[in-house]
Amino acid sequence: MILNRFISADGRSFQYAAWVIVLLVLVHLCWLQLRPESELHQIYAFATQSTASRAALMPYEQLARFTDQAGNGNVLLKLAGYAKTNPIVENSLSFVYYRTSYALYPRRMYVAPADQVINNGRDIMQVEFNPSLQWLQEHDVRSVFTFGNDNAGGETLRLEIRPPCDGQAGMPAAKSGGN
Amino acid sequence: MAFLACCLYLLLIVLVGYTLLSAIHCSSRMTIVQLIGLGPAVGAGTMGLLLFWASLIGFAPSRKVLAIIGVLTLACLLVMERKKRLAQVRVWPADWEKGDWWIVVPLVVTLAGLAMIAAGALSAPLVEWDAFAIWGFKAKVLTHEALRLTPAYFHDLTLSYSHLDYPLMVPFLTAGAYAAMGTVDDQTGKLVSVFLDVLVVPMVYLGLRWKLRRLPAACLSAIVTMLPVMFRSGGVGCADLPLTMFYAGSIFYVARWIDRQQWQDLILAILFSVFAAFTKNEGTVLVLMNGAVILGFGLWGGRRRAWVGAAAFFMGLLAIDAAWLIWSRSLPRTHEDYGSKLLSSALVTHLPKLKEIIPAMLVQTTEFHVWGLLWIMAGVLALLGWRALARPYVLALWILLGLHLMSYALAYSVTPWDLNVLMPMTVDRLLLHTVPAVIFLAGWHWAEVGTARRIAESARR
Repeated sequence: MILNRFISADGRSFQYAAWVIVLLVLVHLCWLQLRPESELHQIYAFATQSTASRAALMPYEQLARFTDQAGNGNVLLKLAGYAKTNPIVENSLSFVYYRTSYALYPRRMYVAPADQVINNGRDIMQVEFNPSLQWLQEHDVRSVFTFGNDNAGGETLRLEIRPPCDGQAGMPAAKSGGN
Repeated sequence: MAFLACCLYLLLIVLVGYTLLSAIHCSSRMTIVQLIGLGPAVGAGTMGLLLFWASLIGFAPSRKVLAIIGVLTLACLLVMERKKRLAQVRVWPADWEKGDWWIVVPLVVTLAGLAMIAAGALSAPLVEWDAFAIWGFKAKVLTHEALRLTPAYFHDLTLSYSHLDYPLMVPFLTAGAYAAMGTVDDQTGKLVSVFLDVLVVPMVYLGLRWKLRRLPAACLSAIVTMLPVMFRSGGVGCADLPLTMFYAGSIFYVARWIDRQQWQDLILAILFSVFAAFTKNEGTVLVLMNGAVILGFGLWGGRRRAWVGAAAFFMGLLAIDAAWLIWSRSLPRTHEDYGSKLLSSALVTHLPKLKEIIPAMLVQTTEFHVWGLLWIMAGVLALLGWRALARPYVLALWILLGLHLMSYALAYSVTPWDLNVLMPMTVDRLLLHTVPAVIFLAGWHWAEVGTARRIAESARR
């Protein structure tokens, strides 16, 4: 009752107060977007193809090139060197697997047997998938992507194109690579 | 050419929405915002469901399927035009007030924000991890294969990271765009994502305009547009903003049903709830809460119409969503499987984690670089307009918001992921889903600020 009387006596002030806070919030949000690190600046950088945005897109373009080179068949992803055990590369491995699987579809990238649950790079590392030649032929695998790092720190994705009828899985007939 | 085809596809979505709205609101008058906001939102949800049902009977999205939908839509429009049942668009509002010209300021801010979201989205392909690994991947699968013979993708556990059991609204709408374009071009296809994401703003405006005058409703809508989290999530190709948009529609019409008991509102509440449930798994939980609140307020009011409304809500939900529920039943669940975990007794053992989760969620609301002062503003407006708590629809929305936040806190408590890694990555996206409820509450409370003075003044007159 006391509150009711208080508010009814000063309702107009409360209306003004409401307007002030709403306008303050709106102005604050606009100001947030004027900062150099704001989302709007990032969007602008992407839209204008700035150097930073081109650099951010490079890994995507690199994987797109690899998937183009892979031809019509399916692809096997193999781990090499430290990448088999180094937890530092888990995130990059996840990215390579997710992105390449997306880019390749309806072709497939194999990292494990179909009944093996793969949620991230760590799962791929744990499987240590090494299929037989017969399995590769049955699944129309024509290329092998090798994800590896030759030193403890860096990561290198190598692509090896496997001819349809060579004698050994992953036998390099042509090579390309990048960082 | 691909861009033009994608635009034609979006036009078809708008036409489908307009047709459905005309069928629901026979011969009524429609505002411009309803035409450009509500119509496309209803159209998008309907198109997603139509493409899903067509795929179930063996027709993957294609130009032929889109042409059939287009012809049927035009036929419906023609019949309704002959029977004078088409909704008329009211270009100039009858209740325009002098001070409403100030609306230009928030409108310019809103349009500038939305234009930036669109520009950012269309200048790059799908780069957000969830966008290509989950939603974009599914869109590609659905473009290539119909669901009649379940594609191998949906049972391939090596692709479990892409959440095989996630609902298919956004993937189907994207697949529709690919079909219209005749190619899988994910950069141009992001036009669909932009279209769905920016619709959240007119949907919010509609909900606010119900109780507020034009200018305050436009200011609050501009606030939603300018939220940093909107720029982060807008146009990236994920399903969070489409869910937010459909959820906004669902709670708005649930509130209107509770307030006015009009069948049109209930039909739209059912439709938006179904769309939300078909967009993300979170949507299924949210629409069950919508139903529970409709039922609860029906019981409270004791009116027969309210009871029947609650029954109609659940039956409508089940009828439209049945195909998805049956088809998705056999899909392998990911290791997350929040649905089963939240319904199991294991939930109790995880409850102590809430001591860690709730403070983290509260801290997130004070992250100014993500939310600005949105949450503080909503709290202050709720205090200033405290009388609104006497309105059943406001109370219903508070309950919905409370249940919404509680369900997310409980989901975090049973997650298999490390909370310290998961929460910083996802909490802003999850809280984004609550923005319509928060902004509606802010607006509806604001509408009650100073009401006592107005009532006293009108009594003196």
